[in-house]
Amino acid sequence: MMRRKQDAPEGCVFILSSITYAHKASKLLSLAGIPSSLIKGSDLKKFDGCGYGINVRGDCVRARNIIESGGITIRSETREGRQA
Amino acid sequence: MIYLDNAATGYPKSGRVVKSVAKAMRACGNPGRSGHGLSVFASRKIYECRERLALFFDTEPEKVVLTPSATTALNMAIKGFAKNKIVTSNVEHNAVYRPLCSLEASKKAEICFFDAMGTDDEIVSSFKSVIAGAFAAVFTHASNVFGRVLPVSRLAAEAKKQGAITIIDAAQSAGHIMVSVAGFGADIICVAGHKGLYGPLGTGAMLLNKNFGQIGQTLLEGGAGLLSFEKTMPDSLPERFEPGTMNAPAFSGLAEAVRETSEAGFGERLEFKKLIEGLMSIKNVTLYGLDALNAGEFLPVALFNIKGLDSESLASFLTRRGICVRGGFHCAPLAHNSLGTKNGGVRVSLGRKNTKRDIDVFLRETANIAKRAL
Repeated sequence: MMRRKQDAPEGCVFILSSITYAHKASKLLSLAGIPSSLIKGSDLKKFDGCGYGINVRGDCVRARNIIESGGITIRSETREGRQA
Repeated sequence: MIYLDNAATGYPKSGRVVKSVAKAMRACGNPGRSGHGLSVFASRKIYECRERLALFFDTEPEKVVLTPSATTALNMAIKGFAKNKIVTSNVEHNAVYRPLCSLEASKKAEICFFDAMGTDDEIVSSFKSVIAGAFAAVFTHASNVFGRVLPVSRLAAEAKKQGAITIIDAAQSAGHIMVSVAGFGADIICVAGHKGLYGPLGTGAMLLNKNFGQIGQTLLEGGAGLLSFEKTMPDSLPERFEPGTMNAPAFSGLAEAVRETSEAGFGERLEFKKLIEGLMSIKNVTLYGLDALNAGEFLPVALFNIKGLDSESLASFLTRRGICVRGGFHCAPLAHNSLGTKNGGVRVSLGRKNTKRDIDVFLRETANIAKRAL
């Protein structure tokens, strides 16, 4: 059965300053019960070469708060295919 | 075979460590470079190692710089963060002493020594007499030659009072006794992964205090997986100090080794007492550096000689009897000068797998050699 749009879990991508911080952010979210997966950023020019981030399925506002409370700077956030 | 050379490298490595390395050898791509599964798996192994070390040594994962050895870590720390007046001890390993001499030769630093041969109070007093005006203090946590553990927390506190940063060489102590970046009040601690932690050879780490904000100069530059168009290494840790491809299989093994060390605890103390008492009871044996045995802490490392034998010959006699020890100078001429062992000594170092029987056999064979040397 097709899921109605408003019931679908929220999704977003956070780009972080390094792969180390991507893993750290993913771990913090995992501890809070928010699933995420590590991805490589696609906008190479924007990230001066390489950028890693995490793809989050869940409450993006809560996820952002958790990541930033962990002292991690979010370089960019994209929600549902748009720049936040 | 009886292995009593654990100060050189911890042996044997456990099956869990070997398995972890082997699994990573089969499954790792280049960590932190690509987005495919093999690369991401490798980067996860690297991060797990950082997490384990951070938890074990009380810092944050991003403050754990993984290196191929404690020597590399010490070179990075000393040449990257220390300059001008630098205070160090008279029992240092060459991994500390030579980088300091290199800085001094290039006129970037002046070395001042404190005496680490007395009681804790005497060591602190000697340190206080030279620390004023220093930019940095660099010293060992425990001597690799005779096991003396320095009162590092007190020394770090004195350095802090004078505004100096503290870099501690914990290559020998990590895994044997508690080492804590935050607990010691150190700015940087350098460790070996393959000694007391029983990780793979070729592993080490530079651990920075979570509150230490200096960026430091890089020792090596190269690809870091980020900011590729910049001419310099990124400011962010740990990538700033990790150019080139990381040895993901080895660090996967180190992560497992640290997990095991956390579970095993510290436990060679009783055997060490037995070893020391046994050596003291053998005629013609001279033990070194134990004057302050009751006034300070020691790792399970002892240095001795038998009258009439040079240390390499004695080590060789023991090797022929299936006992692994190390003769010579142990890359620590300062310590040997301080001990007065100008012809070196034989180092016996216990590990977590040594048994009472190992000590008994070693003492029996040493007594036999000593009898013949008369």
